[in-house]
Amino acid sequence: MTGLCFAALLAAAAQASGGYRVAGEVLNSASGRPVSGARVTLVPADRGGPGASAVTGDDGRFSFTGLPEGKYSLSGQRRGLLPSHRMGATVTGPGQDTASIVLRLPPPAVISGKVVDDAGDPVADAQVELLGSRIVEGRRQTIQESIERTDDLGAYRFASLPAGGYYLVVSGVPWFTKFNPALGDTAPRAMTHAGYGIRYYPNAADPAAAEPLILKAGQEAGANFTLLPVPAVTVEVHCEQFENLTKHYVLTAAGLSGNQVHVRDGVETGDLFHFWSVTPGHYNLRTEATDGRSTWYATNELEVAASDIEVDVALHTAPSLSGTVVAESGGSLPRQLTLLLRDAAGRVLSTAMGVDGRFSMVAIPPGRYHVAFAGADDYDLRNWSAEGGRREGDMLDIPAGAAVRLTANAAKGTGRIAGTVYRDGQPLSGALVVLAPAHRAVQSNSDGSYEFRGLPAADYTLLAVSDGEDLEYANPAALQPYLDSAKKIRIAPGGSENVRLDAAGTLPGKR
Amino acid sequence: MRFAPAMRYLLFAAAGALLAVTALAGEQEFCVAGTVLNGVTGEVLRRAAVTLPESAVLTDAAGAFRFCQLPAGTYSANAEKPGFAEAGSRVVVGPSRENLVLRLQPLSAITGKVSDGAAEPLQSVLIQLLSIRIAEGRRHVRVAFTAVTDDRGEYRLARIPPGRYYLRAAGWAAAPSDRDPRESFAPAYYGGAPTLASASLVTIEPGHDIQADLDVSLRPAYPIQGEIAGFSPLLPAQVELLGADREPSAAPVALDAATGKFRIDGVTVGSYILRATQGDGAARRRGELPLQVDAALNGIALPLYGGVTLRGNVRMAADFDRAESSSPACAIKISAMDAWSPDEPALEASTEPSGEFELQNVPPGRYRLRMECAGGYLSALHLGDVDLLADGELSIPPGLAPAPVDAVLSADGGTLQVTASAEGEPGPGWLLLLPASGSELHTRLARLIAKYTFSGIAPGDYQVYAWSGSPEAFEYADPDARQAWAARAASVHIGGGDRQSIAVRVAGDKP
Repeated sequence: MTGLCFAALLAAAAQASGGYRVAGEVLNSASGRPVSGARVTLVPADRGGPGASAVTGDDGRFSFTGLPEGKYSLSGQRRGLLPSHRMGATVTGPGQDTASIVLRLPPPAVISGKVVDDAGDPVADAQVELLGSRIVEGRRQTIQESIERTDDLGAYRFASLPAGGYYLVVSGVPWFTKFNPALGDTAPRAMTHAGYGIRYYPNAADPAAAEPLILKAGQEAGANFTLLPVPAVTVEVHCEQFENLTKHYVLTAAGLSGNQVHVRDGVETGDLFHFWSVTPGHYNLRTEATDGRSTWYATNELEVAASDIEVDVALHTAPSLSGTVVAESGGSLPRQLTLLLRDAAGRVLSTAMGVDGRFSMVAIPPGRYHVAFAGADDYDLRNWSAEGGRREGDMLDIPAGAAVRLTANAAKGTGRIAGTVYRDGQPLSGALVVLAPAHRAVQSNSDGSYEFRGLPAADYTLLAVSDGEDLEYANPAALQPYLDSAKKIRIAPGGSENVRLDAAGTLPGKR
Repeated sequence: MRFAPAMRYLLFAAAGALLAVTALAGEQEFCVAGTVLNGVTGEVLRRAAVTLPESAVLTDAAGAFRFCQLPAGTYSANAEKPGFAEAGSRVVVGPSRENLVLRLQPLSAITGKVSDGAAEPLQSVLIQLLSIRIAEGRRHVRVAFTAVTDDRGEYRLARIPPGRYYLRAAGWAAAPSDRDPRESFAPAYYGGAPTLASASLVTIEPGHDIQADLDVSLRPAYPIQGEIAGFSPLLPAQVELLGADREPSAAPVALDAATGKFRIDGVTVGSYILRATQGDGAARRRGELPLQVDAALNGIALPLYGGVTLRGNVRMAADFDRAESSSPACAIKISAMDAWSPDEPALEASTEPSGEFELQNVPPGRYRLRMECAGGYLSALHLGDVDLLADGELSIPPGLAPAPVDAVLSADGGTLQVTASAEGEPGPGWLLLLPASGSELHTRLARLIAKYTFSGIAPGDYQVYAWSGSPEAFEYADPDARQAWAARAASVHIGGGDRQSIAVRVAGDKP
């Protein structure tokens, strides 16, 4: 079977008038109306091979016939609508009803608006940052989705957004402060020493007063901002090292939910750089220089009040991280095992490990990182410690100039839990199945089946939620309401358990 | 101004070089005051920046500004505001100057929508606005402004100075996420023309925004793949696909820096030139290959060739008085014939005392040759057997040393003294001597203040044109433009050794 290609199998099955059928309709998730002209793609989920695609007719219906028994992932897309995201597989086989699949395509939402100044003049080239409140790896996080610059009318537009909660952060510089470098002392201060404070939707100056803009599928929302010129100062940055190197300066301020708002950046060779139009507040200045081989960093905290300030930047060799990972069970590590460092903004640094478990990363920006493995699903990071850095839970603080040595164990999981989710005695498709405390979750397939593989031996809690898209499955408090229907499972090394789950309904009023 | 007098003195003394008169302490001081207006509507402009050397203010809500405590002198006052062209005025101060009016011409915007044949809006379309430059009577274009259509298929090009432009939808700005990447469209100019030659001009008047919708036809598009033959690994290289006007295509090129293999996706049916360039300066090699695309193309081999040396010799005709001028002195220039401003400058040389010249590292291609010689005119010009005297067009084939250029310089040219007649527009203007023979090498353009003398004119019939304004007003290489301007011509016959005079009326720059 593995020697044959899928297309040949398909043809063979069709010729024999055998095979299974996957069919259904594509609907607009907001209006419930059929969507014509949508492309539906079917790809084997449990083995390789090419997929097939079909285009819906006026009735929104699609059909694939002559399919061998197996698992398929099914997706739909159409211009003007967002793609469907059906994560569980469609399972064909004896007794499986796969002829009434519904793929729902949400219409995109839009946020647009205008940024003006106190005189009502458009603020062109203002930075508008869009943050989305989404479940990422089981936690609700506020993540930067996109950044736009306003046009000459002060207008901006974020299109093709999925429904959800969004924050907007607006910053800018009054255009007339461009005279600051030439005329800083001879023009009125209101002209050269003005700035716009950061604004948060709904036009608030204080991040604590920021509110999410809640968008339904297909909704077009407007969000206008008024930026008021306020007195601002010039920050003079001195960096006397590496005068011949180009230095990158980035000024950020504390924003929403631990995110840093990018305020300004600049590039300069030499020992002096100026940021002007900096409004009072607390800032973080990050400096970076590289000669192509080595990188140096510095971070400075700045407190900006009513007067110009000077900052001395001392560059340090970029921190390095090296160490050894040992397989807990002895022996060598899988070739593809990778160590990941992820910062608060979601930027990822990674390094592959040799099969001997040694790794080394140079030129890491100092900061706070979440440490994890990737590349091999069935390996977990265990018992790690970091000499020269500071560990706090899953997080590692890497200070400037440090050479951090990390030692860790890699635990290979060989256990398995599989089963079927039911509701009212019927297999339930599309339920969220959560495995705690492993922070893992999958969606049940069309026949209600689910599977977790590569599990280390441990005690687990397993539960299913019928409509769990918004569930913070890595947050123990969020799982609390569902624990009544949860099952406790002990997995021995290499053990396998079959667990029937009954899905809990979604609780009202949770976010 | 808020400075103490002593301080002010120091500031202005430092700026003394910019001022015609530097104040001495205790001398009388004056003011400059006025208003900034919208040059089209006459409305006052608030928060416009007005600068004098070393000082600046913003206009108030009534558009008014005032500088005081100025020493007597001549100042240049400049005003600017986003969305308007900067404007300046020279002001003589001492006495004070009130009611200075600075008028700013508003810039304009072009907005529009891009649709396919089915009137569906197209997202991610690259829009280019091409500005026009006239050189040697011919139109050349370059990309001056770009925009990308949004989710509604809409674009906006802003802050455009008045003038004549071409507008076109060039291709996908990025692979469209909502479309089949195997569909694309040929570049379409505003009005529907497929090439520059057939495109209509878009005229932008100050402060008049225009709406310009563009229609394109989505068609199947194909990948083309190949390899640069004779590629040097890791030496910077570039592959470009040139369209009907030898303009760079918007289709993205992927080039493997290690192997020289390339792939260009989304190429629509049509004729192209594929061009590869590698290396810099004398080591630069280039190859061009015409391509007819009507299906996917694989295995293209694109060879690179080094530049060749174009040699030539200027001989004196027998009529030259050897004693007076022992050797020819000519400036030689060749420039690429592309209507799209070439990304590289013209190549230039001058003759040795022997009359020989050479242009090194000439890449293969089509060029226009221009020669200007002291004391004479070219009576013959050949490249091998090809007569270049009519248009100077020459073709350098790849990899072969071209035949030498052979030029003959004659001394029996005539002289024409041109005087601007009193009833014309006051000068300065432009003077064009256009030979009836059509020889571009005998065409002369000169600046006319009151009088100008052409010498060394090849014997023959000429038309003389004079106009004010821009030297670019008359596209004299274009037969249609020559026809339109014909009524303004003054005809002269220049015989060998003639000295003639003519009076011309300088008129406006419209035919």
